[in-house]
Amino acid sequence: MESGQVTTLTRDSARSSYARIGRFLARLVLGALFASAGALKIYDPGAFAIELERYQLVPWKIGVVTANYLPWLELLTGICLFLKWFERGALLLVTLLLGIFTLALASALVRGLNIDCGCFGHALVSTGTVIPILRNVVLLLLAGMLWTKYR
Amino acid sequence: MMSLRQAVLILLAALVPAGISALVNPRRPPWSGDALLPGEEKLKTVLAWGPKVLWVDARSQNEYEAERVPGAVLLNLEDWDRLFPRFLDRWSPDQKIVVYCSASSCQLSHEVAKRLEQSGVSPVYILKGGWEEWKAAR
Amino acid sequence: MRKPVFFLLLSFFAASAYGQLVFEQPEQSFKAKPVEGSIVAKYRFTNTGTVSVKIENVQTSCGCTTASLKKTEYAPGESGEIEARFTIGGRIGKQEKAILVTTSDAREKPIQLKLLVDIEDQIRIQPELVLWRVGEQADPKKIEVTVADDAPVKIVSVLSDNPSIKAELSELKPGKKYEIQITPTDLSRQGGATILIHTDYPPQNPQTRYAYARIK
Repeated sequence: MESGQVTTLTRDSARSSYARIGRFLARLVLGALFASAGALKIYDPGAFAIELERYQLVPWKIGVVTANYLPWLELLTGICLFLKWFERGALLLVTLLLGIFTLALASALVRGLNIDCGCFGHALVSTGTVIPILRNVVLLLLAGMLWTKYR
Repeated sequence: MMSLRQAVLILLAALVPAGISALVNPRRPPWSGDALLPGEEKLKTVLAWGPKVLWVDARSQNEYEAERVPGAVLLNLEDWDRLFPRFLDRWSPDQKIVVYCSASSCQLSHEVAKRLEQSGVSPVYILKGGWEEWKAAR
Repeated sequence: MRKPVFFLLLSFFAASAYGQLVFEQPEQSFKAKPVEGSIVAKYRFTNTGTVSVKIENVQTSCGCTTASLKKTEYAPGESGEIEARFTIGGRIGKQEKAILVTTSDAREKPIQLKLLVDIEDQIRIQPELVLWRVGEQADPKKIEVTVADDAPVKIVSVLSDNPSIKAELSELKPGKKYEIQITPTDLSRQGGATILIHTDYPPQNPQTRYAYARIK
């Protein structure tokens, strides 16, 4: 009986250390991805604004505000998550942002926007939209893993 | 909720560098969405130039033959060697050259315009909005 | 504790079931020289789904790219390939062409394949055009021809198709830098000439490049 109990305890702590490692990796991956995504866009907000315009979701001026603000938000959120500063707040923002990005991509997919070039007319949807959506779904699941800590 | 409070702090903190970037970043987007890329001109401006405009169609032969700006000369990259001398026969240095392709998302007009300028032909402009813009105005 | 891992695995399954025709390399890049004439890219794919897929349409973004298939219907597990041929034409620099594949799989929107070709300009003719205005003085103008360092090309001769506009070739740096002097003889009216620049490459079918002279 004693040995049985010990075995159970060992199994539980093994499971929870796998979970800890999993959460640690998820935090690193999400934090690094967000920080680098933001950092890249900080350099040229003008180009980002033009990219946003292609999605035709918001008027130009709102795109300008987004292009100036979003990269810094991503960078800060990514750093906070990575370094465990304001971890809960950062995680909340990461989840919200991922959700919004995925919805934006999905809307482009559904509307069949010819994001690449005007040559095909309007029936074009490129794999360039599908893969980021799938990637975001995976990232959302990683975020989900981090939320389990707070249950 | 702690997560909400922390999130709001991050949201506010990001405003500071974002605001500074919006004011000083040399690559910040222009506030006005109508801004023209270098070399581009609006249809209204081009029409006001009148008869001294030489329209250049940068699209494929098929698209050109189907419909085009009246009087436009076809000049694309695929067939450059064959079409460029024909363009030169039509062209006179007193004319303003305006290149167009299918729409604003299409890059062909920019590529043809660049090649024209490199060859020594100028001034070359690009129609903002392309063929779609012309069609909409008719 | 096991739930998150389970969901992660589920999402990967969902991802592979989403697309039935899975392409190994939907984006392919090449470097080319203009003399090559065309580039052929092969896009291999496999039907990873559980039902047969029919390729209904393969469309290219320009006339310079043609795409061909051996057959249109692929059973589950079957592989095939789409062959795309991009004709270089007069292009130089970075080119990006798209191939749109429409399938019978209702869930999937058309798949876009990309063909990126970077065409090296082996011979640079600068400027391509020399211009005189009617009534101007008949001063000769120069066209500089530069051959890329690793290109085994030489300029053999030049010829003007209009005898009243003369073209003379001189070699500034053997095999690498040339100069063509264009001299018009009659600037009293409009005219022009095409300057044929004959090269020796490729040996079986030497390329001719062009420059232009105009009097307007």
